[in-house]
Amino acid sequence: MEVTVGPEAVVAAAPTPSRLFARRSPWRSWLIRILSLSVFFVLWELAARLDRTLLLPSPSRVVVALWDILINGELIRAFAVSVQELAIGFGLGIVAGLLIGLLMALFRPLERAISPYLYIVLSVPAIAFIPLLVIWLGLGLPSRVAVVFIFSFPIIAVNAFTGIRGVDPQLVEMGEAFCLGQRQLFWKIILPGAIPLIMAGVRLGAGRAFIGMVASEILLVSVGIGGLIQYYNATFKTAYLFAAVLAVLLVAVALTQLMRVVEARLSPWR
Amino acid sequence: MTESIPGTHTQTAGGTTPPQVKRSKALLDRFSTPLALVVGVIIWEVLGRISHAVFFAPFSEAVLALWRLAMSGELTDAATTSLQSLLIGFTVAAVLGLSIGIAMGLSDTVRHTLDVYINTLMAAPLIALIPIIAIFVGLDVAGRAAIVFLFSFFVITVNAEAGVKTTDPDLIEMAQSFCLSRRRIFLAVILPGAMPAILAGVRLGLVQGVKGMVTAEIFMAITGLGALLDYYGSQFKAAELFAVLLVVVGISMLVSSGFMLLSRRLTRWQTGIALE
Repeated sequence: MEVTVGPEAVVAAAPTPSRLFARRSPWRSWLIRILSLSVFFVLWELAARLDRTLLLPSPSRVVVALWDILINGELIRAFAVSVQELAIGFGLGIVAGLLIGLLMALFRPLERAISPYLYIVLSVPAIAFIPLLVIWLGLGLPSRVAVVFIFSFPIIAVNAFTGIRGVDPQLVEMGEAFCLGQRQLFWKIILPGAIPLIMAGVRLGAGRAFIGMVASEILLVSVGIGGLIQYYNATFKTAYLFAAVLAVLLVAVALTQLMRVVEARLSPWR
Repeated sequence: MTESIPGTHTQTAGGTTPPQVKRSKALLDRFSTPLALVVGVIIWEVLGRISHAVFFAPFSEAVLALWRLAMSGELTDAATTSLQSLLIGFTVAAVLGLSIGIAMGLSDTVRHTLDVYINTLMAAPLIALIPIIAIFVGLDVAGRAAIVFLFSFFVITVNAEAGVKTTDPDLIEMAQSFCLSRRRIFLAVILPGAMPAILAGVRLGLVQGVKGMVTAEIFMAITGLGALLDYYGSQFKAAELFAVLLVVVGISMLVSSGFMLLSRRLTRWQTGIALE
């Protein structure tokens, strides 16, 4: 998540805090990153060799383990199971979130009735609801879907509501000056104006849905990628444990990047 | 869509609304939140009475269970243990996160050295790291504090960095024209300007810390409020489960709004958007 984009040479004139204290060329950033990563791996390898408890796996063993579970299909099978509850739960979360957000923006009474609960669910750790969901829905796919739903729904709803409400009133007034009907006002002015925040909400919701997916598999029932992590944890196969965790981290980063691309595509004027 | 969209036509028309309607609208706005909560509690009570006792406890039973748990000391024990790890983990995360975040904002070198790790872990489901922490740090206060630290640290760092980086360059140029030393520029220009983002990051870090606390405790299921949730869940004791859930909700809301009040008092001149 870079705050600056493009070579610093373009903004050579304006002093920023980092330019205040040094001057840099663009290639340097990647050099430093690669250097930092190399040092990190060397230190890790050293630590693993010096570790007398034999618990810490060296980077080489982790990479080998990762390749192993990739080749024998175990990783793919695990993700195939996980992606089910992710897709269904997140899909439901988007639909419900957008719907509730829209309805709250349209009908003031509904907004007044629901918003306290929405903000409560937003600030409470969703993970606290997992034992409750287990009581209600058991240990199968429905409860895992429910967990993913609860993780992703609130942020999507809040962003949809804020986005629709926050459309520039001057644009709306302009639309009215052109004698647009309520329906056209909605589709041509309000919805496009709300898209940036809606997409931000969907992006954040995707991240949370992924977290919910892993959480449900680690805490609820050991299937999918969370189950793989739990299995290697219980059998103390630390190299494979690290490999599975690394796989989850990489997929999470890839998912975040994907969502950013989708978000940029759908709101190109931002 | 027969209802008109709020903010259009009927309201921006600038027409006159009679004072009685205005007054009752204002009253409605003030009492809507408590009213919504009361209605919710009533629905909770009714649903609880109708449905099976195992799966859903009415509000009254949850409150009774809360009272019993508080009296027996079970709740206070759990809450104290929980808040311990929260305090330790969060404080370390705040100190480290602010120093590293500010350093990253000030120096490109520091930023490029660390941003790979921070951005990766920021996007990741940190719960996946808990088994690793459990193996290497343990299941006691240290382990739980470490998990709270993980959850809080990255948000604090990223927001502090953003706050420092987005200092208004005109202000810096102005300070330079006054021949201020770099240290003075940092203390008098950069730091105050970064305050809103820093405080927003710390608040989010606290919220995330609470999440980390509950997550760690549900996973390890030994002590703390999370362990209570796990225990009563496995015992199908819905009333006690709801009671503990109420406590967790209460703590989360207190933490989040308490800090918001504090930060509002400290930064009255600016608004900003925090990075999640």
